[in-house]
Amino acid sequence: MAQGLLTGDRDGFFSTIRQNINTSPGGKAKRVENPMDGLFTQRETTVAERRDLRELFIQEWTTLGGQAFAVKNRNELAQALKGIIQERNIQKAMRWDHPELTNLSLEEVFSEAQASLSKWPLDKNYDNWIGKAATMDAGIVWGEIGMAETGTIVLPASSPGQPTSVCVLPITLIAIFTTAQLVDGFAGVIKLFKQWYGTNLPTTTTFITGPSRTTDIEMVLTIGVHGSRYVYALILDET
Amino acid sequence: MYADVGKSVVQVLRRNGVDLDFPEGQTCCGQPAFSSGYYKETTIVAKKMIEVFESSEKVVIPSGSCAAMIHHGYPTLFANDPLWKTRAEDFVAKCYEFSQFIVDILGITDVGATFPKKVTYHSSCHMTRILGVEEQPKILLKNVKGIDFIELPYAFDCCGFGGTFSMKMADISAAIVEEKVDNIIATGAEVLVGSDLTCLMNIGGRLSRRGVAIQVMHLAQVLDQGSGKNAY
Amino acid sequence: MHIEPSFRKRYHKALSDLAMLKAVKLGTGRLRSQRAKAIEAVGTERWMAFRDRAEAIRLHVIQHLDQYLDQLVNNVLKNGGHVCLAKTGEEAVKYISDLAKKKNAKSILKSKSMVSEEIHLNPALEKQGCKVIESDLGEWIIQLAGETPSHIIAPAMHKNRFQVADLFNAVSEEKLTTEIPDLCGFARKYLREKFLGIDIGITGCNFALADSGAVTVCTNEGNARIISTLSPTLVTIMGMERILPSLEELTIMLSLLARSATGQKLTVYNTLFTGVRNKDDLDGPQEFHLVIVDNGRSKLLGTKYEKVLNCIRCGSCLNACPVYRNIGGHAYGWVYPGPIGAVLSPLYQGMEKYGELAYATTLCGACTFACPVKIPLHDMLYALRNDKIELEKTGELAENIAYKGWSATFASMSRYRFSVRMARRFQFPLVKAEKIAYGPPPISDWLKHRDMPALPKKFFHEIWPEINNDRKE
Repeated sequence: MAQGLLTGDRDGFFSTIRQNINTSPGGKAKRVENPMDGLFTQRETTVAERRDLRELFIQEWTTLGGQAFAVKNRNELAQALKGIIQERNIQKAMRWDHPELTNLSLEEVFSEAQASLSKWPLDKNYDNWIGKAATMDAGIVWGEIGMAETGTIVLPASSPGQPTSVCVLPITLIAIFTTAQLVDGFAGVIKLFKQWYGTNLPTTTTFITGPSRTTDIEMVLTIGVHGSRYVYALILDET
Repeated sequence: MYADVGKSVVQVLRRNGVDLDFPEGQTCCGQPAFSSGYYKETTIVAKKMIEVFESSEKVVIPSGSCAAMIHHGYPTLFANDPLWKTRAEDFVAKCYEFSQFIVDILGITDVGATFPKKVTYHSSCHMTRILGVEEQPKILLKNVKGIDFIELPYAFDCCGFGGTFSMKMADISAAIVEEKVDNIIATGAEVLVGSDLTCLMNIGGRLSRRGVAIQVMHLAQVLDQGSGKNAY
Repeated sequence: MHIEPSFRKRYHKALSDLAMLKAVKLGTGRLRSQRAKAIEAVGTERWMAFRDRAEAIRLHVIQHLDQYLDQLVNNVLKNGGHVCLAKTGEEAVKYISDLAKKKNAKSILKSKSMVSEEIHLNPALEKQGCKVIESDLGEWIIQLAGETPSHIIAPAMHKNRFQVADLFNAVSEEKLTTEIPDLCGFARKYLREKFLGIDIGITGCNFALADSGAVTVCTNEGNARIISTLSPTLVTIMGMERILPSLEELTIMLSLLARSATGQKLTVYNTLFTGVRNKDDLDGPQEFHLVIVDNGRSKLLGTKYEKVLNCIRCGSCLNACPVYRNIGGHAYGWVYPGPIGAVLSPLYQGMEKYGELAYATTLCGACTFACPVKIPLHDMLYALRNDKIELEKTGELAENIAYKGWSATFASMSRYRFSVRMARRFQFPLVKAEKIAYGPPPISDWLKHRDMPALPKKFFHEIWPEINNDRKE
């Protein structure tokens, strides 16, 4: 990646700051080591504990206005998906090009339901595909991490096949993942992010906690103003 | 200024075994000047107060905001004064708000009072947020015989007095006290109790202007009820 | 938009706008109670621990701001993004205007940025022929109305659905009802079309992360991430104090932010982006510009006010404030209303213009107690008052004399007692049935809405001898 350009008087900007900081009243506050200590649940979970987390996640997600399904296997997943296709009258959907999603053979499920599923391609040009994503009835993503405490799905757009457009533009969002992806909350996310990325974060990472909402008019809740109005989480038993 | 309240304070404390004195030189804790930013003028009066109470073991203050001023404001005033800093700190350390003194220092939660009325309580801002005294007045009230204690909605919300604010920005102050008065009326209480006479004067003044027949009493006056004047 | 220069006139206008006050009471009441429920669910002790941690994190960052900004700048540049260090608002506006000109940008979409309001960005861009559209629903509403935001997180809190319908009907081809779902549905359709035709996108910044060069934006609607994904050229405007060391500190802030603002555990969308797309990506910006703005912030560093830079713009001080709840946001006269505004406006824009705001408070402390990063707002208001009198010598002459007289009188027992006897004599004509209902200034202001008790026949120091003697017997 080519280095970016800096505009402005860097020395002047920083010397003003440095000069003024040196007179901080009461001395300088120390760096907080281990800022998350004692505030978040940090533990290794068992398979059974993760099934409990799934229930907690589903509770949170549902309270926020989403729908969630605990599915045991590929068959149940297919059933649930077909139900959603029917409920939302989905005719065309687009999915991430993610190995986990590829393994689930979702194209078959869609063709059985007489709907079409395309994959975000890597060999077409920019203008068409954002516009294409915007015309989709649904976007399907793989939930890299599910935070049970808050009902949050973490979606790092960490490869060209995982574009943010697919989860941002369509009115319906379907997130599929297994119980293996579930963590209690932020502590679990940080642990995984440190492992996967260090300080080299993906271009975009989105934390999605339910459907898009606003209360800007008279404090009345309306769902689905700019982002997804309908959000579905399909959580498979891990194998 | 409210002599009756002072009298009740003395009687309640004496009834509970406290030998107390009223050093004659005392005038004012200095809060109005301090809040308006006149630190120099406040310091002159504050020094007088520290002197007057120098030989007292403990100081009981029947006003949440005065006690808060002493605890919070005096260290600020004397922080850079090497001569007075320790004297101020010593003074602050022996000052207590009235209900705080009874519950925390004397260890008494029932002063033996009787007051069979519907009562609600306003929690004054400086006493709760700045002094940290929240539950003590309510504990004492709830233990009064015959009392029907009703929680005031948004009890911790400001009454709108704010010192000179009540005159400088009287219309905003009025809007705030109106909210408080509406909440009080909605409880159905016969009596409003508080620990700060400035709050009570403010709320009472609005109740009076609106012609609402709710009595306004200081905590000390309620705790002085029904125990007999010659009990000690 | 013209702002009335007198605070007194502004708040009198506000007090008579009953529709606005009703909306503000509803809005702040709802947000307050939701916040209280969220804190109850977390547990008071745990919440206090979070606040302590957050305060320590923010204060450390502010006091080492050069270090973290330096790290951030290096990482953004390394990731292929451009950086503009804008000491003044004008520099920031010039940079973005030049960029818009260079890109021949016609359609500019914005997500919420309070800093952009500080620097008056929109009018400058519109002057050179760009169409700037606010995408946050509340911000779009006030943009159509030609107004400024009245609350940090609910900018159109003061408007009702009928007013909104009028504004939308002015830009809609079909006539809209006054039903809120219809109005929101129209906003979605209209703004979606604009999103797809975007030339330059501009976002604000909730938190920049120094160690990765990532920007965090939090919304409930999802407008910011649409902008950060679809814009060929993306600009983020950042107040230079909106920075954290790393992702770990971010988790603390996010845990406090939404709960403080609206009572939610998290806002619906928390997006972290590093800016420029990777080589093989088919979406994401091709150019990213981070505009870091000083605009008076550096002046506060190293002063007794530096802690005000801890602010994470949650708005909970507004909802807690009895003054804000009764006059609304516009009366404060600048970008930031409520307690945070009462402190920032005089500091950033000058005592002469906004010094009065330091007196628009009962000093009840509710703001300080609500603040998730423990800014001692009410103490700062005391300090501003003291500054005003000591340093700027703009205290009223009459008040100066009065307090000097007060300190002379109250420093002496005999002078104090004499003044009490005199006051009792002078009140005589005003007292009726032990109450005072009418009187001369300054007590006439008090008496406008309240009665006052008459001074008692005997002050406590006058009955003390009697009580003391009773005891001796």
